[in-house]
Amino acid sequence: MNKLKNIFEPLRSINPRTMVILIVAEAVVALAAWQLSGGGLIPTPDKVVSAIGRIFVMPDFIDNLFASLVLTVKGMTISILIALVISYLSIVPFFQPLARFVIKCRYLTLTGLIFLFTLLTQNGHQLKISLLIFGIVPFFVTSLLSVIDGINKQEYELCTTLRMNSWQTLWEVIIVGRLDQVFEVMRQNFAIAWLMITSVEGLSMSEGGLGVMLIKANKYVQLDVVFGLLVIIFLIGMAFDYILGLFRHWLFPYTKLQTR
Amino acid sequence: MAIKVKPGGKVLGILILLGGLYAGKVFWWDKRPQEAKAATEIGKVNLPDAPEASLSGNAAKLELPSTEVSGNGGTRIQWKIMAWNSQFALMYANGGPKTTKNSLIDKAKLEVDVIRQDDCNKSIADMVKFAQDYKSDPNTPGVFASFMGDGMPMFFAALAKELEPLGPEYQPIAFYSMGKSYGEDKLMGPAEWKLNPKAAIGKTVACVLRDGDMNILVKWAGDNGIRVNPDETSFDRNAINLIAANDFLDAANKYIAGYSETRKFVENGKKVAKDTTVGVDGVATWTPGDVNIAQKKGGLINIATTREYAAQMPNITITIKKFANDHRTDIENLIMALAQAGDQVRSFNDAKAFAADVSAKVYNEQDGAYWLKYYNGTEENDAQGTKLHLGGSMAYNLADAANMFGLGDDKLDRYKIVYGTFGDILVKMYPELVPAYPVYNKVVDKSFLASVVSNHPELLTGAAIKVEYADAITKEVSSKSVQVQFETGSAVIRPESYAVLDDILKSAVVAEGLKLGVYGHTDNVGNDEANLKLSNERAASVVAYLQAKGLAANRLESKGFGASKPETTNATAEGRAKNRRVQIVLGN
Repeated sequence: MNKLKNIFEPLRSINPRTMVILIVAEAVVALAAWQLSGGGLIPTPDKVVSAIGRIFVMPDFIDNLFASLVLTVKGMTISILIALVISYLSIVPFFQPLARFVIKCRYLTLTGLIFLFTLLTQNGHQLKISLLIFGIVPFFVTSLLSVIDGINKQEYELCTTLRMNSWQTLWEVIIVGRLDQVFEVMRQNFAIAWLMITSVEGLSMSEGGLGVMLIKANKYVQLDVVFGLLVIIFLIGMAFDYILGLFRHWLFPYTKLQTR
Repeated sequence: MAIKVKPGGKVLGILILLGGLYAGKVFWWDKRPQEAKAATEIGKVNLPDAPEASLSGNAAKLELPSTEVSGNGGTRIQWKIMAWNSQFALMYANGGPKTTKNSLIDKAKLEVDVIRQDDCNKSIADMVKFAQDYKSDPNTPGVFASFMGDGMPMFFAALAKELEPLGPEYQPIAFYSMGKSYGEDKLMGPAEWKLNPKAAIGKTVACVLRDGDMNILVKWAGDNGIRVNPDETSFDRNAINLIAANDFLDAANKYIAGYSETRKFVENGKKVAKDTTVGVDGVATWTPGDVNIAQKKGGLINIATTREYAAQMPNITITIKKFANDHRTDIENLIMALAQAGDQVRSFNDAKAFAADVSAKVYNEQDGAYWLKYYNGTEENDAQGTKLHLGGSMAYNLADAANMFGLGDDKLDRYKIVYGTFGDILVKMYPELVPAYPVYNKVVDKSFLASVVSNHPELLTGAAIKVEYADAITKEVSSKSVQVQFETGSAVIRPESYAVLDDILKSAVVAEGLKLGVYGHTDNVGNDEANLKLSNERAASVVAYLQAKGLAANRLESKGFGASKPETTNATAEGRAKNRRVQIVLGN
């Protein structure tokens, strides 16, 4: 009884086991409600699960999955490198305007830009990668700059005390000292890349990809397959989230320290 | 025991892992012997005999192309097409996504890459990029794109403007048509619209604005004398209203999902601050949009399709003028290959099935059986049990292409009329978006086709698509009364009415699949017998005018009704003027 009261109380921390039970219970309730309210055009969970089974045995599923993963990993890697360069340089006043402009690019949509990018790139693959990069970089830069903004002044003062010049300070405090945060930034913004996958893959369908599978299933209103693909995309997204977190802790063990 | 690794080593480890995965994919997974997509077992599908066979009797059936890529070293071309069945001739001629050995295009010494691209804007961008590249490097592979013919005025308007800075040599031109939509593009609506088109007034149709499917609606409405409200944000009770969709599938989905939206009323040409909620009553879409509607919800029938408006939607191929002129021989050889392919596809079922299999490979979607089914067109019951005709395309042979561009026996330039008709509609409805469109003779270059037609009469043995017209019209698709001025008491048409008659001609040319009925009516002044005779003669004289312009005699029907079918009262002068009319009916 007391436990029940606890889970509805604000600011109350509950033990992990209760949390897990809570998550499972809420998921089950949601699925049951979906199963009972479904029917008609909306596919029920059992139909979606069987569709996932069918998707897995599709002959080109592995290739499509790989195409999407390669595209995303490629896009993410190039994006993070570009974003790092832009944000590190933003410390130098000359490059400030550029960094500020890039941040504002978040407000651009791809619709009108596809034409421009087509003219600038050589082929469909390049077009997809460059659109993806264009979509991700502003978000990366935004997050990285906020990381840099959040650096405690004492750290700079420490470097000054240690007789470092400003370039050394940049290296020690911002580049090396914040390397672990880069993973956090990638993790937070990975969803953006994953979100764009359908829109960019639709531009060059010949290479395939999960986005292409989604577009095709949608064309024939095969909603069970569409939902199945969405579930797969969702799970892969969560897996990436987890892996990036894992990498961060593994590469930078000190991030596991709890400082309170 | 745990191994201590420094971060640098760990990063290296991660990179090695990712690299290993990638290498495994490239060197093992992609190299493993893969189950090739099995060719569909065509023997089990009951195909109708090719009813539109163009080659008769002892026609030469060509050996099917191989599936092995040819690499003949000829002129390279990238051909951007959307997933559309009117391209069966290209599929057969190319033998695969890349030109295969022993295919007709291989024999024409060309290497064509057929690339699926559903986004028209992207194709326009590709064309602009190609023009730029070709200007700086004449060895750039050519780029072709194929679109629906009735949409060309808009594409050309956009393209011509983009390409202007490169100079007049780098303008786009259309040079051939390899097929057409023949039923798959349509206006679907409630059954009552078919019986009484006026029932569509004050209703809505979901469609992609300024798209070919919307053109079917606009034409059908125009032929019935119904206005279409071009503004997708307001609601006009006295017109058909449009609900804008993202694409042709979204248009169908809006009906299936029971979409509705709030609109401002239009009263006396002004938007008023009064809202109404409208749902989707009809849909203009194409396959598989129509299939989705039939299977998921049903309740709509075909009101008008490209089977009736049979000349509206040819597949038109474009490229850049300079490339075409630099490669004149290549293009003429290509036209010959496509024309022969059209004959093969039309005359031999296994050639058609082969083209369907290639389609599945090029579009990387469904299988050959699917594309074949909807190329032929099929009758299916919808979710509510109503029989519905779905799909339908046609491949052209040389005679069809010649007919399309006015190089056939009747010298009627059908495409010129289609281009002008829908270009004018666009400018009339959306002057702010498309203030003007390029003139026909500037963007359509018939010289390539004309040269093939005159130098290779042997390729004209394939019979053109024949439409069987009914003896008399029993089902009206549209009916409209027009005022034609005759000399008093006679059947001689006054010159000021020629423009009206030319509009009727254009309307009939686009609606190639329908018979045209011209019915004369008079007021009740004078005696009945004289009126009947006069109305007969007047209808006949309109028909004679249209025949002189190139319409076939078996397409035309003329009748006189005298004063027996007044539209309104004969008691006033105004009413009598309305009753003296010519009724123009398109039907079958």
